[in-house]
Amino acid sequence: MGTYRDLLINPRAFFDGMFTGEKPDLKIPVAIVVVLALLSGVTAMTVSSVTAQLMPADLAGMGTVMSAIGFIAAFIMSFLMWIIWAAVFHGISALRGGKGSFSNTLAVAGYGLAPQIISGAIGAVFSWWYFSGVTVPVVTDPLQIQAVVEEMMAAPELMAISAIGMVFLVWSANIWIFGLMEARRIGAKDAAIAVLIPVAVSVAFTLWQFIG
Amino acid sequence: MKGYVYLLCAVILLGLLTGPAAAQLTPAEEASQLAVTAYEVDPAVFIYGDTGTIKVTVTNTGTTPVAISRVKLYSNDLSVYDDGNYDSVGTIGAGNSLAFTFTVVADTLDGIYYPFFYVDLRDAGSLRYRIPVTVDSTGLTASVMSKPDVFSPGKKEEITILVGNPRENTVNAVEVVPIKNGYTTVQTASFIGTLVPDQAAEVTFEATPSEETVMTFAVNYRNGINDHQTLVDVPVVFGEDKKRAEIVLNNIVVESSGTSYMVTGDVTNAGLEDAKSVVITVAEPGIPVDPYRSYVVGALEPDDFAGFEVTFDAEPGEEVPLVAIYKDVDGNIYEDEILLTTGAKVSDSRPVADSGMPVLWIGLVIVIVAVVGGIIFYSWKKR
Repeated sequence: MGTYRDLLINPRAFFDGMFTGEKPDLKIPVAIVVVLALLSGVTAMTVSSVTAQLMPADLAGMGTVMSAIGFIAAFIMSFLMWIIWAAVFHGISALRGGKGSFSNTLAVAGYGLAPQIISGAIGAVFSWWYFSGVTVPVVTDPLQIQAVVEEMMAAPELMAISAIGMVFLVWSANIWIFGLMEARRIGAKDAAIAVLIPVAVSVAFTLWQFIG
Repeated sequence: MKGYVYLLCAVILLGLLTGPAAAQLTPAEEASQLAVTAYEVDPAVFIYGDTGTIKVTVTNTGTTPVAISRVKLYSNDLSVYDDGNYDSVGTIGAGNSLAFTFTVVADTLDGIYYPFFYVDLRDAGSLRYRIPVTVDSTGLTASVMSKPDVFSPGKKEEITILVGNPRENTVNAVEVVPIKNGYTTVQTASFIGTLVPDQAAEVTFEATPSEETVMTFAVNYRNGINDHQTLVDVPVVFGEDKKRAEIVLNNIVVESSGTSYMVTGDVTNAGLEDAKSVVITVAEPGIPVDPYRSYVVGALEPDDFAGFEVTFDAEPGEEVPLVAIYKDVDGNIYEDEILLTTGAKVSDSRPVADSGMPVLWIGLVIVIVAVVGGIIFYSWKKR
């Protein structure tokens, strides 16, 4: 088993011999997901507070509540995504002859989210920077709120942040491939298939959101 | 008995002998029996060029008939047209009257003239009588009593004209007719009727000018059988109506509304007349968009105000006219406008919105792609 530096730049060495025991240690993956969830929560809170300003004056007091809801929702969503990634990897790798417990796959998925912390930090900082500079209009027609939000989200800065997120997702995919090879005892090709299919779907969905 | 018969015959004979001697009058005596008992000049006062009549009534005040050969009216100043009507008249019985009417034309300067009425008796006598006839060419006066200080194109205004009669005689069939040259009136004419000397009458027209012109009103009247006309002019000069409604737009706030702009503010009528059907919108280069392409405020009384909101699209930084369109009571349309300066839209209001921004982000993404690509390459190459 390698160092945490190896996790990012040499995952083969990091995962080598990690899953020889019966149960992997999930403390570090959970810590990674917690940090990622906090960053996602901060980003969601920033977006929610801006969106709340679009509301009519009589609903202006809901801003704090909406920010809290946004933070909690993003926090929980990060853990859900961890489990979903692990479940998808586990299922596809099983079809490719993968063996090993779901805990192993959960640990791999958690470790693989480490680059997302960098991406999440960049996203949180730049989201805060972007939305703090936005002049929020007064929208009297509730039907216009969606149009305004869509225009704000279609900004080049936010598209660049999403592009950066996709690059870091590819980085995570690279870690997941090496992790699955060890955790599920499968070859590189099968691991790549198990990882790249859901990653490609995720990237395609993100691109469709911007293009659509 | 025979003596009575002789006496009766003698009386009858005496009567036959003395009777003709008593009826035989001298020419002077005959003339003295005739008298001009009345004359009438119509019109009472002529205007230069007028045609009228002079009617003279002659009465035989005596006890015997008087034979008249002819009757004439002579004048060196007036033209008399009798066409020989009275070249052979006949006898006027005792106590009877005859009227003689002559047509005259006042083709002479103003003044008082005395045509000469002449009755020629068959037995060498005559009757002469001078009749005063006045010629005064003073016409009716017409003056503008009230009119607006300035006119506005298409705006109906009231114009009051005073018609006075400074003449010594009554004129009739007086009416005022607008001579339309560049304006229209509700009334086609206004009839006054008879105006006695020193009487005046007012008429009011509702006139709507379409161009700067001179409104001319004709005062038509009749002096006897003669038509006359007096004109009065009302110059039309367009200008700013001091009483009209005046729309003031203030408390203007322009906000970016996502894909468009929203302008809110107050509209006030600072004029002295009502502003009807007030509508607020924007003009080019602004493009009105939903939901408030135009905001209908409705009627605004003087010093009244109302709020409005208009949504429009425009390029950031463009000057867009905010237009208030309203009408007066006659339906004339007016416009007042102010210029709005549009600020940045939501998507353009970020701290750094210059053209270098996308390049910076693209560069950042490329760097990250290169770093991550290098790491992935390294991880697969490393054994």
